This record gives sequence, C-alpha cells and structure tokens, in this order.
Amino acid sequence: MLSVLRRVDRLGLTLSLASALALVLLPLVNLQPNRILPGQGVALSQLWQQNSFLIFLPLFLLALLSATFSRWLWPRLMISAAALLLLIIALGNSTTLLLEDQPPFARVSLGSGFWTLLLLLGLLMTDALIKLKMAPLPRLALVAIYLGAIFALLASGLWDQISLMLEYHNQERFWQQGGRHLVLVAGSILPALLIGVPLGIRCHRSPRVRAAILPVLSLLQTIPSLAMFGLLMIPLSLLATSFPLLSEFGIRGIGAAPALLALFLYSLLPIVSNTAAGFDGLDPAVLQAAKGMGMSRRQRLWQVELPLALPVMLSGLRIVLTMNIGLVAVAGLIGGGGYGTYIFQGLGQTATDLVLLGTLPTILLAFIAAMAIDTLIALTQRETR
Amino acid sequence: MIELNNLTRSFGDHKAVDNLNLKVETGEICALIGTSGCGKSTTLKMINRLIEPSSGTVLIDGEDIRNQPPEQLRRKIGYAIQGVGLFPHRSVYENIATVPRLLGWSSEQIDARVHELLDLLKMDFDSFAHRKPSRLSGGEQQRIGVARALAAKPDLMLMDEPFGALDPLTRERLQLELKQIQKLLGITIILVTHDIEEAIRLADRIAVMDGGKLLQQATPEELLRNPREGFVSNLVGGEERALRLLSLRSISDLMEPAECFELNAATPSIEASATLRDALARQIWQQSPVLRVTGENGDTCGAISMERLLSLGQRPE
Repeated sequence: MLSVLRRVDRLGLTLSLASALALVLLPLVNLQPNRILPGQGVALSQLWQQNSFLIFLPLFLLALLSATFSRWLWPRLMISAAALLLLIIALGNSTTLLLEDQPPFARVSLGSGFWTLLLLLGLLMTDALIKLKMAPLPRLALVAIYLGAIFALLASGLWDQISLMLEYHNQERFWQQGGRHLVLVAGSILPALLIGVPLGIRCHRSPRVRAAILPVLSLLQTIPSLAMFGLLMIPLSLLATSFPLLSEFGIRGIGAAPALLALFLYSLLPIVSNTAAGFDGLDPAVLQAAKGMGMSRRQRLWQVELPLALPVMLSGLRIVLTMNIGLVAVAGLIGGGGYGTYIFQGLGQTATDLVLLGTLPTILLAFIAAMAIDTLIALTQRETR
Repeated sequence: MIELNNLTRSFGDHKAVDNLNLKVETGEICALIGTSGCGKSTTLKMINRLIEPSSGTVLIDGEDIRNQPPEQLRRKIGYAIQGVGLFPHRSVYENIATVPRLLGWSSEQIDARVHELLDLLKMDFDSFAHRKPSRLSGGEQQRIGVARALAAKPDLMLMDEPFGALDPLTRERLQLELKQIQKLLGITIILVTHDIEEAIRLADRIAVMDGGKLLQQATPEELLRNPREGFVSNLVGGEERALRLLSLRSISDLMEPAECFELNAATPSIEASATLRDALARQIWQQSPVLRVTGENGDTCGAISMERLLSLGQRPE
C-alpha cells in the first residue's frame, strides 16, 4: 500500500482530480437560443450515452490513472493526447443530436467544462513531454503532427455545428487576417532586429552608449500599449495631413502605421539588452585567442562572437515574438487588422464565440512561435556542447 | 631572431614596460618571468601587436613588425594562452584549422596538417578530431590549444602562462612534450610564466622582469649561480637553488666510470637520462651513496656518487 502511495505523481494526481471534477461538474457545452443570448449548460450526464463518449470515458480514466501512477512517460503522453482527440470527436457528434429538435437559430457553444479539460489535458501532455527530454527537432515534429491532427478534425466538418466554427465560416477573410497578423508581427520585429542587434553590440562595447540607451528603451516598455497607440496617433496624423503623399503609403493616425511603430519600439529593449547580455557573457580567453590568431574584427564578429551569443539573443527574440503576437491583437482596436479585429467586433456585438475566434488563433500563434524559437535555442546551444 | 629594442609601453602615467631590450635567438625558448603586473604579458602582446608600444621597436629576423598589418603578422605567429580560448562551438578539427583557413590553405593541406599535429601530440585523430572542446579534459584542451597555435607552421610561438591552470602532474607532462616538440620543429618560443620551476625546466634563456624593467637575462644555470641581488635572487630561491641547479643537468654529464666504485648486485640503479636531482633523491631514498647508471638498453654505463653531486650544488663563492 505504502509503495503504491510513494509512486503517486503528485502533479499528475492533482491534475487528474481537477479534470475528473471538471468533467462531472462543469457543462461541456452550452445550448443557446441564438448567437448572442446566453444558453443553458449541458453536462456530461446528458451526453454520455453517445457512442463516442463510451470510447472517450474509459480512455479518459486511463489517462488520469497513468498520469497518477505510471512512470512510463510515453503511454502517459499518448493516452492523454488520444483522450483529447476523442473528446473533440465526441463533442462534434453530440452537437448534431442536441440541435435535432431545436429552432433554427439555436446554437451549441463550447462550455467551461471543455475549456477546463483542454487546459488540464494540455498540462498533462506538456508535463509528460518535458519529462521525456526529447531532442528538440523530434519534439517539435511531434507537436506539429498533433496540431495537424486537430486541424484535420476541424477541417473535416466535424465541428461545423459548433458556434465557434459557425463564426469561422462567417468570416471569409479569416486566413487573410492571419496573414496580416503575421505581417504586422514580422514588420515590427525585422526592423527592430536590424537596428536592435547593432545597437546591442554597441551597448556591449561602450558603457556610455549603454547608459544612454537602455533607460530610454526601458521607459518605452512601461508605456501601456493603448496609451502608446494614442501617443503615436497625434504626430502620425499631423504628418499625414501636412504631407498627403505619406498617407498614400498608409502612414496615418490610425491603421497599421501606429501599430507597427509601437510594436517596433516595444521590441527594441528585449533585443538590445539580450544582444548586449549575449556579448557580455562571451569568454574573454576565446576573444583574445581569436584576435591573437589574426582574425579580423569582422571575422571575429561573424565567426566567433555572433554564433556564441546567439542563444541569449534568441531568447530575446522569443520574448519579442510572443509579446508582439499578443500586442498585434490590441492593434485591432485602432484598425491595424489581424485577429484583434474579431476580438473587438465580438466584444461590440457581445458575441463570445467571435471573440474566441480572435483569441484562440492568437494564443496558438504565440505558442507555435515560442516552441519554434525554443527549438532553435536548443539547437544552437547543442552546438557548443 | 627576435629583437626588442628600447621597448616602452605606458598606460597613462604608469609605465607597464620600461625601456626593455631583449634578444631571443632562433630555435630558443625564452621565458619572461616575474610577478603579476610586472609587464611580462604586455611585453608578449607587443610582439604580436595585440598592444602597440609607446616607443621602441620589435624586429623579427631584422624586419620591423610594424611593416605589415597586425592580422597578417599574427597569422604567422603561434599564440597560446592560459584560458586556452578554444572556440566552444567548433570541433577540435575546426579549431586547429582556424589559422590555415584564414591563410586560405586548401582542404587537403588542412586535413593533412590536422592529422600531423594530432599525431605529434599523441592524440588519436578518430577519437578527438570531431569532439567539441567541452568534451576534453583540461590537459587535452591545452594540447589542442598548442596544436592550434602550431597549425600554420609558425617559426615563432608566443605562450602566455599556457600551463597555469593545469594540475601539477599534467603540467609537468605537457612541459616535457612542449620541449620535445620545440626541439623537433626548431621553432622559437617566447613564454610568459610566474613559475620559476617551469622557466628552469623549459627555457634556454630566462628574462626576469619587475616593475616593467628587465632585471637580468641569462641561461638557467647562470641565473641560478649568479642571480642579481634582490628580486632575482629571491625569485630563484635561497637554499633551494642547489636542488634547482641539480635539476638542470642529466646524470650522463657527471657520471664516472663504473670501475671507480665497488658496485654489487644490491646497488640501486638509475637511468643516465634522469636529472642529477633525481639521482640525489634516489640516493637519499635508497640510503645508498653510490648509484649504478644504466643506459637505454639497461646495461651499466657508469656510476654516480653523492660526493660529486654535493660538490656541484655547493653555494657559489
């Protein structure tokens, strides 16, 4: 008995208990009379006779048991991953049934039970994935395959009756907005890299430059994003009215220009300070040897200093990338475009699922970006080991 | 031949190196020795222009080093330092290939040279060439540091406390290896150290520095026999000088014919290539005033007595 208790994975046990409670107590979906009005929660007890739930439930139980007791990480990961996929299938199947004798405007939306389960199963999978200590590239591939499987399920039309997917099908420009979101992120980060990296190197080489630049950049970081958009609107609209040519290039008080400029300014601090920190951390003996062997300044920079400072610089890029993907959503408010547009439209119409249509892809993009950079950091660090 | 003429380097009001004159013959190992901050490293760095002199000149084979750009000069001079400074993101092979690549050697030439150098340092190509420096022990890293410094076949190698961070056993082994390699290749080495034992073991000429000035330069034996009063004589030690003197010579220099002594089967023996210091140690350890001296094949080729050792190590008049 004691030996069993000792083998209990405490994190696994906590997550398992929480997800079991969520499944039983919280509504998995809501049945709404129409798009706007709040609906009634539908709990597991009303759904579980469904065939696909009969497969999901035992698998779910197995996932919780293996998370709590098993030292075998692969089964833990695989079972919880399969359980989530089956939950998606089961929910898709049950919506058709729920909507059968309902009026035409009625909708099924995802309930708090589903979101809690999504989070908890996600944590179980992340925990197993971290403990597996996989090599960076296979891990990235595994996550990509799993996300691909979820996308395939959604693309198959399984969830087309669920409110979130109805909102998606209403938006013809969903993918264009995604593209625009990414363009705004890249459009702010690339210039920030072009200017921030050399500036970071300057900060490393000269304490005086550092003392002048870093406080200014930190101050910029403290300005809240909406205030920053507001601050930039005034000079930009002044510019646009005094030089009409500029506004033809899209430089106006609202829209993409203030968004890009604000994101650019926010990006500078992490890039500059991490570049400087990366260069500060270089082994002086390595630099002296490089110089003493006759490498020119440029050769030292490209062949020695940059490759060795790269992991620290990349972790700065990771901060900026995830931060800007989130901030671009805020830029939706001033007409910058991107997924933020849906969030603010949805808030205006009190249509929760439209808000989610803006939020979920934003979170997913940030997650993918962070994961990709982590893989890069792991690969560059492995180079020096 | 390397000539340092009236070399001076000031940092503000402080003269790190003050009017230094030194000649190092081709094929010699010259040790610059002194306490930290005495200007020995600054002197070394002025030879490959990591530091430019405030005044004075450095000539290599009669040519002023300022006649060529610093990068080109440095590629012709080997450079090995205390922290080794191997590039952690590059393999042993790539590290050694650094200067040859800068000089534009072909990949066949580089490949042959890396093989040759790893052979020279008794390191197996297959097990070492593709390792990253972090997978090497301290001694192995320092060996690769030396190999990297020798890669482009320099005539001159500068070494800044290269063995300072190693444990005593490894240090001694690498010192012996370096001496062998230097004799084999016939290169000139200028070595900075604060360790008088290291200087005596390695150098053909020792230059003692203090406060930026050159106090004395001499062969190890001369330095031990006639050190200048003050700093130099403190450095070479008081009574320990006797043992250091003995460590300079090998037994074959001083042994006598075996017939002069009554040797029997119980007489302890020692190899002729060992130092006189080793001989004295063995005489004390074995409580035997006479040792049988054996050649490489193990045959008796002479004998060495404690009396003779004692006379050599005596205090100079």
